[in-house]
Amino acid sequence: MSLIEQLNSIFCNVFKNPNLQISPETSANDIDGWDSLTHFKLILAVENNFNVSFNTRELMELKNVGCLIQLIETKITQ
Amino acid sequence: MSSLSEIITSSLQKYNDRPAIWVDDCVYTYGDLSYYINQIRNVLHQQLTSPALKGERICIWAYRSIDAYVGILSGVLSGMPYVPLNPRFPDERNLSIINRVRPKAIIVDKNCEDAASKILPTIKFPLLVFFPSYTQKPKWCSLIKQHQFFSQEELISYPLASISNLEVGSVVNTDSSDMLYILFTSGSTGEPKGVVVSHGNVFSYVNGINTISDCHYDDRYLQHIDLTFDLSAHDMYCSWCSGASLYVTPHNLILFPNRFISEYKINKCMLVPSTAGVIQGHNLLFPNSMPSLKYTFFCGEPLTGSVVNGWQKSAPSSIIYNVYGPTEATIAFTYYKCTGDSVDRCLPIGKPLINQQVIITSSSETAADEIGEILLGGSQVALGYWENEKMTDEKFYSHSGKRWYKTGDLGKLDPNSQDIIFLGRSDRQIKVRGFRVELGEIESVIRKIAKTYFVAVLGDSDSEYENVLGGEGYLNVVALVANSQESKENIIEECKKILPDYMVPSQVIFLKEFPRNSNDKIDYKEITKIYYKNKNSSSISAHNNVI
Repeated sequence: MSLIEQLNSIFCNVFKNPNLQISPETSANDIDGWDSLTHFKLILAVENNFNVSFNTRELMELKNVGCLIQLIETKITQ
Repeated sequence: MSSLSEIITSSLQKYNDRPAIWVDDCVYTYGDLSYYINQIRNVLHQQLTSPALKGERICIWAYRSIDAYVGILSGVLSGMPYVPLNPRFPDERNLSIINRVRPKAIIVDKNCEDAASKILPTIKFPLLVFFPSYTQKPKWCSLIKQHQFFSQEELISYPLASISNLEVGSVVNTDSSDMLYILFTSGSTGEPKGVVVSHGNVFSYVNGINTISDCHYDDRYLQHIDLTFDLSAHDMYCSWCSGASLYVTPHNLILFPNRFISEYKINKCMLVPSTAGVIQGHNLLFPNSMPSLKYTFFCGEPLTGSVVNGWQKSAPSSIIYNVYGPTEATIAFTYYKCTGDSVDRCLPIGKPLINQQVIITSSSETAADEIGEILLGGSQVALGYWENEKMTDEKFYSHSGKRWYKTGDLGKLDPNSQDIIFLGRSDRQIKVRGFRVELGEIESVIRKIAKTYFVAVLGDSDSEYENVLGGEGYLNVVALVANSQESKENIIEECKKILPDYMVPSQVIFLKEFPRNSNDKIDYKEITKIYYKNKNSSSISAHNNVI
């Protein structure tokens, strides 16, 4: 499964929407219910799934799914 | 020094080179703040002609940006009460606040420009609109003739007024009874109500907090809570009155305050208990992960011993206070010092801050632990509700030379410790993620959308967090509706246009019929029972009353 497919599956779980389709351009404005609580759950799920940990500066710079993919890739290769 | 504006002005001068605000990954010194504040005050004082500007409102349509704080301080030092708006509010709610307070000036930042571009053209009365962070004002401004717009360039090049009028150190004379801010909170009749807080109220509050916590210019305060919620005023004024720095949590880190506190070595914070409860619910309060923290204030919701114990392990050097107070009594009015081995129940709200007084209506010498309404009296009690004399007279009164506020909260005195114990509301007000919510306001909105009288709104939480939230703290609201032709989706979508996000129901459930009490009124107790009974038995839709 590609990274974005894995992420898609996490998004579906967090937002309780099995039909959700994300792209690198997807941001909080595009998904109904993306509030502080779901954002929190999403980040924790990503950290757990990829066994990575983000610091606050990295979290601050996340603007969309593309940024998240880049960050995960950087973390995995470190 | 005898006034809030004098103390802040003193900090601006004395701590000129010291950091005042960390926001958007930039540090601004007190000197930087003075520079930006004076640019705006220069225009305000000439356009509105001091002292005529005193008492005129300035709206803050800026979110977690330096512009927000520059706008607030420009208002404070000019004697202009500020009124925060919120990009998390629907446009309609922000517009309604603007129309009700009729400001002379408004500060807009990049987070709010989009909404401002839609709303400002519809406002007929003239406004001074400031874009302090824009080199040039947005193009859409040229299409609006009734307002004057000021970009950063125009603020810098604006002719200077007589310098004596604007020197740091010269503030418009403020009396303790002058308005400092107006905050709009949920109102049970469907309209938010504006609580008017004075310079003297906040001055008293800061003095009270100083007596229970050490204040130092080296302090780093977490500014975590939105400006539209009065707990944010705690961080701002405690920080600015002592020359300390304010660290503004970025919007996408709202539920990561522990990481922010740890990485930025924050030593003082004010949080709502549900924020800590959610973090704890995910087992993320690691031992000694916030060693810098010296003081934690929890306010806005009932605080459980479980949250305190978890937080204390994570911040072993922190003194933890459970503080309590409605917006009408300025940020917090009572305090209770918690211990890390608190029993797992809702903790007392303690005793009043210095020079403030609490009475429980039905308490008497013979029945010290009798339950009654909590009344708050003293210099922290607010001026009243904005342009609502009737409601002000209902809730506020003077007695024994003090101003009093009837909270509508129920409490009793612990006969041994004399601490006040909070026992909930006497009406249908709840706290959702710390925000004060009148369920009646949401019901009133849904009744219009769903075109039915049969609407009941309840507080709700994901079951995973129930054990860490206090009895009256919720994460969401749900709506139960009968006799409506509207779809669930449409009701939620229409609510989003009118209500702040925390007041929009997470789900709408249609009932075939509404339980009524013996007076034929909606039986909220029965509806609550139906909801919770069926929610806990896997699915609400299992109930035979649910469509």
